Amino acid sequence: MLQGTYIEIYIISILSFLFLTGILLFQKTKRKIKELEEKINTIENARVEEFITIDGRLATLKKMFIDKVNQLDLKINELLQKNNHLYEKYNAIGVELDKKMEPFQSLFEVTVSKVNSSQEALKEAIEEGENEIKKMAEGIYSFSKEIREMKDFIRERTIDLEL
Amino acid sequence: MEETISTILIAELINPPELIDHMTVLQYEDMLGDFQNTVFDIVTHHLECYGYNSFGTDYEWSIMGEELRVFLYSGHVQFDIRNALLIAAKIKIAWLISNFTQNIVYEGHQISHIGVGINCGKVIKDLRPWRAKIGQIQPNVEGYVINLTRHIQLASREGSVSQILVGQNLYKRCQLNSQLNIAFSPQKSLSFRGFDQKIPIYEVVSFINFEIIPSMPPSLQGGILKKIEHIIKNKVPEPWLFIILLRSYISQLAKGDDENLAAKAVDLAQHALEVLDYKVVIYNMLGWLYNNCKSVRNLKIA
Repeated sequence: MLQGTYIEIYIISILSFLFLTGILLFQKTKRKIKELEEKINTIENARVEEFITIDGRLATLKKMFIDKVNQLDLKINELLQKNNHLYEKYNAIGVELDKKMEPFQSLFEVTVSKVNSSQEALKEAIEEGENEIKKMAEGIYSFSKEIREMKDFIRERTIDLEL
Repeated sequence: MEETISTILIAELINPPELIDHMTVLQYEDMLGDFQNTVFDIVTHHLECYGYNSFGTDYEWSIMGEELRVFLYSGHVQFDIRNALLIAAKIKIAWLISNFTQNIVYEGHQISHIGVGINCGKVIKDLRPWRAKIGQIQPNVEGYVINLTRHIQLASREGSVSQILVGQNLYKRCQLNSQLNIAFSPQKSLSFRGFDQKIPIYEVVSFINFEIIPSMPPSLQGGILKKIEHIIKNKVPEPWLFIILLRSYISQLAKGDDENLAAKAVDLAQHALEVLDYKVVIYNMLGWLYNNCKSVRNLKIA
Protein backbone atom coordinates (compact mmCIF):
# COMPACT_ATOMS: atom_id res chain seq x y z
CA MET A 1 0.00 0.00 0.00
CA LEU A 2 2.83 2.29 0.96
CA GLN A 3 4.64 1.25 -2.11
CA GLY A 4 1.64 2.40 -4.17
CA THR A 5 1.66 5.69 -2.51
CA TYR A 6 5.22 6.34 -3.37
CA ILE A 7 4.65 5.59 -6.95
CA GLU A 8 1.59 7.80 -7.00
CA ILE A 9 3.54 10.51 -5.28
CA TYR A 10 6.29 10.10 -7.77
CA ILE A 11 3.92 10.19 -10.68
CA ILE A 12 2.10 13.11 -9.21
CA SER A 13 5.33 14.95 -8.64
CA ILE A 14 6.43 14.18 -12.16
CA LEU A 15 3.13 15.36 -13.55
CA SER A 16 3.30 18.41 -11.31
CA PHE A 17 6.78 19.07 -12.56
CA LEU A 18 5.65 18.63 -16.11
CA PHE A 19 2.68 20.78 -15.51
CA LEU A 20 4.79 23.50 -13.95
CA THR A 21 7.33 23.20 -16.64
CA GLY A 22 4.56 23.44 -19.21
CA ILE A 23 3.18 26.49 -17.51
CA LEU A 24 6.61 28.04 -17.40
CA LEU A 25 7.22 27.26 -21.03
CA PHE A 26 3.83 28.60 -21.95
CA GLN A 27 4.55 31.76 -20.02
CA LYS A 28 7.90 32.04 -21.65
CA THR A 29 6.45 31.44 -25.10
CA LYS A 30 3.71 33.93 -24.49
CA ARG A 31 6.24 36.46 -23.38
CA LYS A 32 8.34 35.79 -26.44
CA ILE A 33 5.31 36.11 -28.68
CA LYS A 34 4.49 39.38 -27.02
CA GLU A 35 7.99 40.59 -27.53
CA LEU A 36 7.83 39.58 -31.13
CA GLU A 37 4.50 41.31 -31.60
CA GLU A 38 5.99 44.41 -30.07
CA LYS A 39 8.91 44.21 -32.40
CA ILE A 40 6.58 43.67 -35.32
CA ASN A 41 4.55 46.64 -34.25
CA THR A 42 7.67 48.69 -33.96
CA ILE A 43 8.76 47.64 -37.44
CA GLU A 44 5.28 48.28 -38.78
CA ASN A 45 5.29 51.70 -37.29
CA ALA A 46 8.71 52.37 -38.67
CA ARG A 47 7.64 51.21 -42.08
CA VAL A 48 4.54 53.36 -41.98
CA GLU A 49 6.72 56.27 -41.01
CA GLU A 50 9.05 55.49 -43.83
CA PHE A 51 6.14 55.35 -46.26
CA ILE A 52 4.90 58.62 -44.97
CA THR A 53 8.32 60.12 -45.50
CA ILE A 54 8.57 58.76 -49.04
CA ASP A 55 5.08 59.92 -49.91
CA GLY A 56 5.95 63.31 -48.60
CA ARG A 57 9.08 63.48 -50.63
CA LEU A 58 7.24 62.26 -53.73
CA ALA A 59 4.59 64.87 -53.23
CA THR A 60 7.28 67.50 -52.85
CA LEU A 61 8.97 66.33 -56.00
CA LYS A 62 5.70 66.18 -57.87
CA LYS A 63 4.90 69.66 -56.75
CA MET A 64 8.32 70.85 -57.78
CA PHE A 65 7.93 69.17 -61.15
CA ILE A 66 4.49 70.61 -61.72
CA ASP A 67 5.79 74.03 -60.76
CA LYS A 68 8.65 73.71 -63.19
CA VAL A 69 6.37 72.40 -65.95
CA ASN A 70 4.01 75.23 -65.35
CA GLN A 71 6.84 77.71 -65.54
CA LEU A 72 8.04 76.10 -68.75
CA ASP A 73 4.55 76.08 -70.12
CA LEU A 74 4.30 79.77 -69.40
CA LYS A 75 7.57 80.41 -71.15
CA ILE A 76 6.52 78.26 -74.14
CA ASN A 77 3.27 80.12 -74.34
CA GLU A 78 5.16 83.38 -74.26
CA LEU A 79 7.41 82.15 -77.02
CA LEU A 80 4.47 80.95 -79.04
CA GLN A 81 2.82 84.28 -78.64
CA LYS A 82 5.97 86.01 -79.72
CA ASN A 83 6.23 83.65 -82.66
CA ASN A 84 2.66 84.30 -83.66
CA HIS A 85 3.32 87.95 -83.40
CA LEU A 86 6.38 87.64 -85.58
CA TYR A 87 4.47 85.47 -88.04
CA GLU A 88 1.72 88.04 -88.26
CA LYS A 89 4.33 90.74 -88.76
CA TYR A 90 6.02 88.65 -91.41
CA ASN A 91 2.69 88.06 -93.14
CA ALA A 92 1.94 91.72 -92.98
CA ILE A 93 5.34 92.53 -94.44
CA GLY A 94 4.83 89.80 -97.06
CA VAL A 95 1.47 91.26 -98.07
CA GLU A 96 3.02 94.71 -98.11
CA LEU A 97 5.93 93.40 -100.17
CA ASP A 98 3.59 91.56 -102.54
CA LYS A 99 1.68 94.79 -103.03
CA LYS A 100 4.91 96.64 -103.71
CA MET A 101 6.34 93.85 -105.87
CA GLU A 102 3.19 93.40 -107.94
CA PRO A 103 4.20 95.91 -110.63
CA PHE A 104 7.64 94.39 -110.73
CA GLN A 105 6.35 90.81 -110.83
CA SER A 106 4.92 91.03 -114.33
CA LEU A 107 8.04 92.88 -115.44
CA PHE A 108 10.17 90.18 -113.84
CA GLU A 109 8.15 87.42 -115.57
CA VAL A 110 8.57 89.16 -118.89
CA THR A 111 12.28 89.53 -118.24
CA VAL A 112 12.59 85.90 -117.20
CA SER A 113 10.74 84.73 -120.32
CA LYS A 114 12.95 87.02 -122.38
CA VAL A 115 16.06 85.67 -120.71
CA ASN A 116 14.79 82.10 -121.25
CA SER A 117 14.07 82.72 -124.90
CA SER A 118 17.44 84.46 -125.34
CA GLN A 119 19.08 81.53 -123.61
CA GLU A 120 17.29 79.12 -125.96
CA ALA A 121 18.27 81.24 -128.93
CA LEU A 122 21.84 81.37 -127.67
CA LYS A 123 21.83 77.61 -127.13
CA GLU A 124 20.49 77.05 -130.64
CA ALA A 125 23.04 79.47 -132.02
CA ILE A 126 25.82 77.65 -130.16
CA GLU A 127 24.54 74.28 -131.39
CA GLU A 128 24.32 75.63 -134.92
CA GLY A 129 27.79 77.05 -134.50
CA GLU A 130 29.04 73.70 -133.27
CA ASN A 131 27.45 71.94 -136.25
CA GLU A 132 28.90 74.55 -138.53
CA ILE A 133 32.33 74.06 -136.95
CA LYS A 134 31.96 70.28 -137.30
CA LYS A 135 31.02 70.68 -140.95
CA MET A 136 33.92 73.06 -141.45
CA ALA A 137 36.28 70.62 -139.74
CA GLU A 138 35.01 67.79 -141.95
CA GLY A 139 35.37 70.05 -144.98
CA ILE A 140 38.90 70.98 -143.97
CA TYR A 141 39.73 67.33 -143.34
CA SER A 142 38.42 66.21 -146.73
CA PHE A 143 40.09 69.22 -148.34
CA SER A 144 43.43 68.35 -146.73
CA LYS A 145 42.96 64.74 -147.86
CA GLU A 146 42.23 65.96 -151.36
CA ILE A 147 45.28 68.26 -151.26
CA ARG A 148 47.39 65.32 -150.09
CA GLU A 149 46.02 63.15 -152.91
CA MET A 150 46.57 65.97 -155.37
CA LYS A 151 50.12 66.39 -154.08
CA ASP A 152 50.71 62.65 -154.58
CA PHE A 153 49.12 62.86 -158.03
CA ILE A 154 51.31 65.81 -159.03
CA ARG A 155 54.43 64.04 -157.72
CA GLU A 156 53.55 60.87 -159.65
CA ARG A 157 52.63 62.79 -162.78
CA THR A 158 55.95 64.66 -162.58
CA ILE A 159 57.77 61.34 -162.30
CA ASP A 160 55.78 60.06 -165.32
CA LEU A 161 56.94 63.02 -167.36
CA GLU A 162 60.53 62.81 -166.06
CA LEU A 163 60.75 59.24 -167.21
CA MET B 1 21.50 60.90 -185.85
CA GLU B 2 24.37 62.22 -183.76
CA GLU B 3 27.95 62.60 -184.95
CA THR B 4 30.75 62.46 -182.43
CA ILE B 5 34.46 61.68 -182.09
CA SER B 6 34.94 58.39 -180.33
CA THR B 7 37.98 56.54 -179.09
CA ILE B 8 37.56 52.89 -179.94
CA LEU B 9 39.25 50.03 -178.17
CA ILE B 10 38.88 46.48 -179.44
CA ALA B 11 40.56 43.68 -177.54
CA GLU B 12 40.57 39.96 -178.23
CA LEU B 13 42.12 36.85 -176.78
CA ILE B 14 44.96 35.46 -178.86
CA ASN B 15 45.20 31.77 -178.08
CA PRO B 16 48.32 29.82 -179.04
CA PRO B 17 47.43 26.70 -181.10
CA GLU B 18 49.23 24.52 -178.54
CA LEU B 19 46.83 25.66 -175.85
CA ILE B 20 43.63 25.39 -177.88
CA ASP B 21 44.48 21.96 -179.28
CA HIS B 22 44.78 20.42 -175.82
CA MET B 23 41.74 22.11 -174.38
CA THR B 24 38.41 20.39 -173.78
CA VAL B 25 35.16 22.28 -174.32
CA LEU B 26 34.74 22.70 -170.55
CA GLN B 27 38.27 24.06 -170.16
CA TYR B 28 37.61 26.51 -172.99
CA GLU B 29 34.38 27.53 -171.26
CA ASP B 30 36.36 28.11 -168.04
CA MET B 31 38.88 30.24 -169.91
CA LEU B 32 36.16 32.27 -171.62
CA GLY B 33 34.30 32.79 -168.32
CA ASP B 34 37.48 33.95 -166.60
CA PHE B 35 38.31 36.30 -169.48
CA GLN B 36 34.84 37.86 -169.55
CA ASN B 37 34.70 38.29 -165.75
CA THR B 38 38.16 39.87 -165.68
CA VAL B 39 37.37 42.26 -168.50
CA PHE B 40 34.00 43.14 -166.95
CA ASP B 41 35.65 43.97 -163.59
CA ILE B 42 38.29 46.17 -165.21
CA VAL B 43 36.02 48.13 -167.54
CA THR B 44 33.18 48.79 -165.06
CA HIS B 45 35.58 49.78 -162.27
CA HIS B 46 37.69 52.00 -164.51
CA LEU B 47 34.82 53.91 -166.09
CA GLU B 48 33.25 54.51 -162.70
CA CYS B 49 36.52 55.66 -161.10
CA TYR B 50 37.41 58.03 -163.91
CA GLY B 51 34.08 59.83 -163.87
CA TYR B 52 32.28 58.53 -166.93
CA ASN B 53 28.59 59.22 -166.53
CA SER B 54 26.47 56.46 -167.96
CA PHE B 55 26.18 53.88 -170.67
CA GLY B 56 25.07 55.55 -173.90
CA THR B 57 25.90 59.06 -172.62
CA ASP B 58 29.67 59.14 -172.84
CA TYR B 59 30.65 55.52 -173.29
CA GLU B 60 29.49 52.14 -174.52
CA TRP B 61 31.04 48.74 -174.26
CA SER B 62 30.23 45.13 -174.96
CA ILE B 63 31.75 41.68 -174.65
CA MET B 64 31.02 39.01 -177.24
CA GLY B 65 32.84 35.74 -176.80
CA GLU B 66 36.56 36.51 -176.79
CA GLU B 67 36.12 40.09 -177.95
CA LEU B 68 35.74 43.32 -176.00
CA ARG B 69 34.67 46.61 -177.60
CA VAL B 70 34.79 49.93 -175.76
CA PHE B 71 33.64 53.28 -177.20
CA LEU B 72 34.55 56.43 -175.29
CA TYR B 73 33.03 59.74 -176.39
CA SER B 74 33.14 62.09 -173.40
CA GLY B 75 33.81 65.08 -175.67
CA HIS B 76 37.45 65.30 -174.54
CA VAL B 77 39.39 63.13 -176.95
CA GLN B 78 42.71 63.37 -175.08
CA PHE B 79 40.98 62.21 -171.90
CA ASP B 80 39.34 59.32 -173.78
CA ILE B 81 42.67 58.31 -175.34
CA ARG B 82 44.38 58.24 -171.94
CA ASN B 83 41.55 56.11 -170.58
CA ALA B 84 41.59 53.73 -173.53
CA LEU B 85 45.33 53.21 -173.03
CA LEU B 86 44.84 52.67 -169.29
CA ILE B 87 42.03 50.16 -169.92
CA ALA B 88 44.19 48.31 -172.47
CA ALA B 89 47.12 48.03 -170.04
CA LYS B 90 44.83 47.05 -167.18
CA ILE B 91 42.96 44.27 -169.03
CA LYS B 92 46.27 42.83 -170.18
CA ILE B 93 47.66 42.84 -166.63
CA ALA B 94 44.40 41.51 -165.19
CA TRP B 95 44.41 38.63 -167.65
CA LEU B 96 48.03 37.77 -166.88
CA ILE B 97 47.36 37.67 -163.13
CA SER B 98 44.03 35.83 -163.48
CA ASN B 99 43.75 32.40 -161.91
CA PHE B 100 43.45 30.73 -165.30
CA THR B 101 46.67 32.26 -166.68
CA GLN B 102 48.59 31.78 -163.45
CA ASN B 103 47.71 28.07 -163.55
CA ILE B 104 48.87 27.82 -167.18
CA VAL B 105 52.14 29.56 -166.25
CA TYR B 106 52.55 27.17 -163.32
CA GLU B 107 52.09 24.20 -165.69
CA GLY B 108 54.71 25.68 -168.01
CA HIS B 109 52.49 25.99 -171.10
CA GLN B 110 52.13 28.90 -173.46
CA ILE B 111 49.51 31.39 -172.30
CA SER B 112 46.78 33.31 -174.11
CA HIS B 113 47.54 36.97 -174.76
CA ILE B 114 45.21 39.86 -175.29
CA GLY B 115 45.71 41.75 -178.55
CA VAL B 116 44.41 45.31 -178.52
CA GLY B 117 43.64 47.77 -181.28
CA ILE B 118 42.89 51.43 -180.44
CA ASN B 119 41.96 54.25 -182.71
CA CYS B 120 39.83 57.36 -182.72
CA GLY B 121 37.65 59.04 -185.28
CA LYS B 122 34.20 60.20 -186.23
CA VAL B 123 31.31 57.89 -185.57
CA ILE B 124 27.56 58.23 -185.64
CA LYS B 125 25.14 57.31 -182.93
CA ASP B 126 21.91 56.27 -184.54
CA LEU B 127 18.96 54.03 -183.90
CA ARG B 128 18.28 52.11 -187.08
CA PRO B 129 14.62 51.24 -187.69
CA TRP B 130 15.39 47.54 -187.99
CA ARG B 131 17.10 47.60 -184.56
CA ALA B 132 14.04 49.20 -183.01
CA LYS B 133 11.93 46.43 -184.57
CA ILE B 134 13.93 43.77 -182.73
CA GLY B 135 13.64 45.67 -179.46
CA GLN B 136 17.02 47.45 -179.33
CA ILE B 137 16.07 50.94 -178.23
CA GLN B 138 19.62 52.24 -177.58
CA PRO B 139 21.29 54.12 -180.46
CA ASN B 140 24.20 52.19 -181.90
CA VAL B 141 27.69 53.54 -182.58
CA GLU B 142 28.71 52.97 -186.19
CA GLY B 143 31.44 54.20 -188.44
CA TYR B 144 34.25 53.39 -190.80
CA VAL B 145 36.81 53.85 -188.02
CA ILE B 146 35.37 50.91 -186.07
CA ASN B 147 36.04 48.57 -188.97
CA LEU B 148 39.55 49.98 -189.23
CA THR B 149 40.17 49.52 -185.52
CA ARG B 150 39.00 45.93 -185.83
CA HIS B 151 41.65 45.32 -188.51
CA ILE B 152 44.30 47.05 -186.37
CA GLN B 153 43.36 44.77 -183.51
CA LEU B 154 43.71 41.70 -185.74
CA ALA B 155 47.19 42.90 -186.68
CA SER B 156 48.15 43.04 -182.99
CA ARG B 157 49.08 39.33 -183.26
CA GLU B 158 52.22 40.56 -185.02
CA GLY B 159 53.17 42.86 -182.13
CA SER B 160 56.35 42.05 -180.25
CA VAL B 161 56.20 44.27 -177.15
CA SER B 162 52.77 45.14 -175.81
CA GLN B 163 50.51 43.89 -178.59
CA ILE B 164 48.62 47.17 -178.21
CA LEU B 165 48.41 48.67 -181.69
CA VAL B 166 47.06 52.10 -182.57
CA GLY B 167 45.95 53.78 -185.76
CA GLN B 168 47.21 56.93 -187.41
CA ASN B 169 44.58 59.25 -185.83
CA LEU B 170 45.37 58.19 -182.32
CA TYR B 171 49.11 58.29 -182.95
CA LYS B 172 48.92 61.90 -184.15
CA ARG B 173 46.85 62.98 -181.17
CA CYS B 174 49.32 61.30 -178.80
CA GLN B 175 52.19 63.22 -180.43
CA LEU B 176 50.31 66.47 -179.77
CA ASN B 177 49.66 65.61 -176.13
CA SER B 178 52.79 66.44 -174.13
CA GLN B 179 51.13 65.19 -170.94
CA LEU B 180 51.07 61.61 -172.20
CA ASN B 181 54.32 59.71 -171.70
CA ILE B 182 53.96 57.15 -174.45
CA ALA B 183 56.36 55.75 -177.03
CA PHE B 184 55.49 53.90 -180.22
CA SER B 185 57.37 51.53 -182.46
CA PRO B 186 58.34 52.79 -185.94
CA GLN B 187 55.42 52.96 -188.32
CA LYS B 188 54.36 49.81 -190.15
CA SER B 189 52.06 49.94 -193.15
CA LEU B 190 49.80 46.97 -193.60
CA SER B 191 47.28 46.04 -196.25
CA PHE B 192 43.91 45.19 -194.88
CA ARG B 193 41.14 43.44 -196.75
CA GLY B 194 38.58 45.96 -197.94
CA PHE B 195 41.00 48.90 -197.80
CA ASP B 196 42.60 50.16 -200.99
CA GLN B 197 45.67 51.74 -199.51
CA LYS B 198 48.12 50.52 -196.91
CA ILE B 199 47.17 51.49 -193.39
CA PRO B 200 49.87 52.83 -191.02
CA ILE B 201 49.90 51.25 -187.57
CA TYR B 202 52.07 51.71 -184.49
CA GLU B 203 52.72 49.47 -181.51
CA VAL B 204 52.86 50.90 -177.98
CA VAL B 205 56.37 50.11 -176.76
CA SER B 206 56.24 52.18 -173.60
CA PHE B 207 53.38 53.69 -171.67
CA ILE B 208 54.40 55.34 -168.42
CA ASN B 209 51.46 56.00 -166.17
CA PHE B 210 51.50 55.60 -162.44
CA GLU B 211 47.73 54.98 -162.35
CA ILE B 212 47.83 51.56 -164.01
CA ILE B 213 48.40 49.42 -160.90
CA PRO B 214 46.92 51.62 -158.12
CA SER B 215 43.63 52.00 -160.02
CA MET B 216 43.09 48.30 -160.61
CA PRO B 217 39.84 46.98 -159.05
CA PRO B 218 40.23 46.14 -155.33
CA SER B 219 39.38 42.49 -156.08
CA LEU B 220 42.59 42.25 -158.16
CA GLN B 221 44.86 44.33 -155.92
CA GLY B 222 45.84 41.50 -153.55
CA GLY B 223 49.41 40.38 -154.30
CA ILE B 224 49.36 41.99 -157.75
CA LEU B 225 53.05 42.93 -157.78
CA LYS B 226 54.09 39.45 -156.69
CA LYS B 227 51.99 37.94 -159.51
CA ILE B 228 53.58 40.28 -162.08
CA GLU B 229 57.02 39.41 -160.70
CA HIS B 230 56.07 35.73 -161.06
CA ILE B 231 55.10 36.27 -164.71
CA ILE B 232 58.43 38.00 -165.43
CA LYS B 233 60.39 35.35 -163.54
CA ASN B 234 58.79 32.64 -165.72
CA LYS B 235 59.98 34.45 -168.86
CA VAL B 236 56.50 34.91 -170.27
CA PRO B 237 56.94 36.98 -173.46
CA GLU B 238 55.33 40.19 -172.19
CA PRO B 239 58.35 42.57 -172.12
CA TRP B 240 56.21 45.68 -171.58
CA LEU B 241 55.56 44.37 -168.03
CA PHE B 242 59.11 45.40 -167.05
CA ILE B 243 58.17 49.04 -167.55
CA ILE B 244 54.93 48.70 -165.55
CA LEU B 245 56.68 46.94 -162.67
CA LEU B 246 59.60 49.36 -162.60
CA ARG B 247 57.22 52.32 -162.61
CA SER B 248 55.43 50.79 -159.65
CA TYR B 249 58.74 50.33 -157.76
CA ILE B 250 59.58 53.97 -158.42
CA SER B 251 56.22 55.04 -156.96
CA GLN B 252 56.93 53.10 -153.81
CA LEU B 253 60.43 54.54 -153.58
CA ALA B 254 59.09 58.08 -154.09
CA LYS B 255 56.76 57.53 -151.14
CA GLY B 256 59.74 56.32 -149.11
CA ASP B 257 58.08 52.97 -148.42
CA ASP B 258 61.08 50.70 -148.87
CA GLU B 259 64.64 51.80 -149.57
CA ASN B 260 65.71 48.17 -150.17
CA LEU B 261 63.46 48.17 -153.22
CA ALA B 262 66.02 50.28 -155.08
CA ALA B 263 68.44 47.36 -155.47
CA LYS B 264 65.58 45.16 -156.69
CA ALA B 265 64.58 47.88 -159.18
CA VAL B 266 68.14 48.16 -160.50
CA ASP B 267 68.31 44.37 -161.02
CA LEU B 268 64.98 44.43 -162.83
CA ALA B 269 66.08 47.37 -164.98
CA GLN B 270 69.26 45.51 -165.98
CA HIS B 271 67.15 42.51 -166.92
CA ALA B 272 64.80 44.79 -168.90
CA LEU B 273 67.73 46.23 -170.84
CA GLU B 274 68.49 42.73 -172.09
CA VAL B 275 64.91 42.07 -173.19
CA LEU B 276 63.52 45.39 -174.45
CA ASP B 277 64.44 47.03 -177.73
CA TYR B 278 63.16 50.41 -176.59
CA LYS B 279 65.70 51.15 -173.86
CA VAL B 280 65.31 54.92 -173.40
CA VAL B 281 62.70 54.59 -170.71
CA ILE B 282 64.77 52.05 -168.77
CA TYR B 283 67.80 54.40 -168.86
CA ASN B 284 65.55 57.17 -167.56
CA MET B 285 64.39 54.94 -164.76
CA LEU B 286 67.95 54.05 -163.80
CA GLY B 287 68.78 57.76 -163.84
CA TRP B 288 65.84 58.43 -161.54
CA LEU B 289 66.98 55.68 -159.18
CA TYR B 290 70.48 57.13 -159.13
CA ASN B 291 69.20 60.63 -158.38
CA ASN B 292 66.66 59.70 -155.75
CA CYS B 293 67.90 56.62 -153.94
CA LYS B 294 70.84 56.86 -151.58
CA SER B 295 71.54 53.13 -151.91
CA VAL B 296 72.01 53.40 -155.69
CA ARG B 297 75.37 55.00 -156.21
CA ASN B 298 76.71 53.04 -159.13
CA LEU B 299 77.16 55.77 -161.70
CA LYS B 300 78.11 53.28 -164.39
CA ILE B 301 74.75 51.57 -164.14
CA ALA B 302 72.85 54.86 -163.97
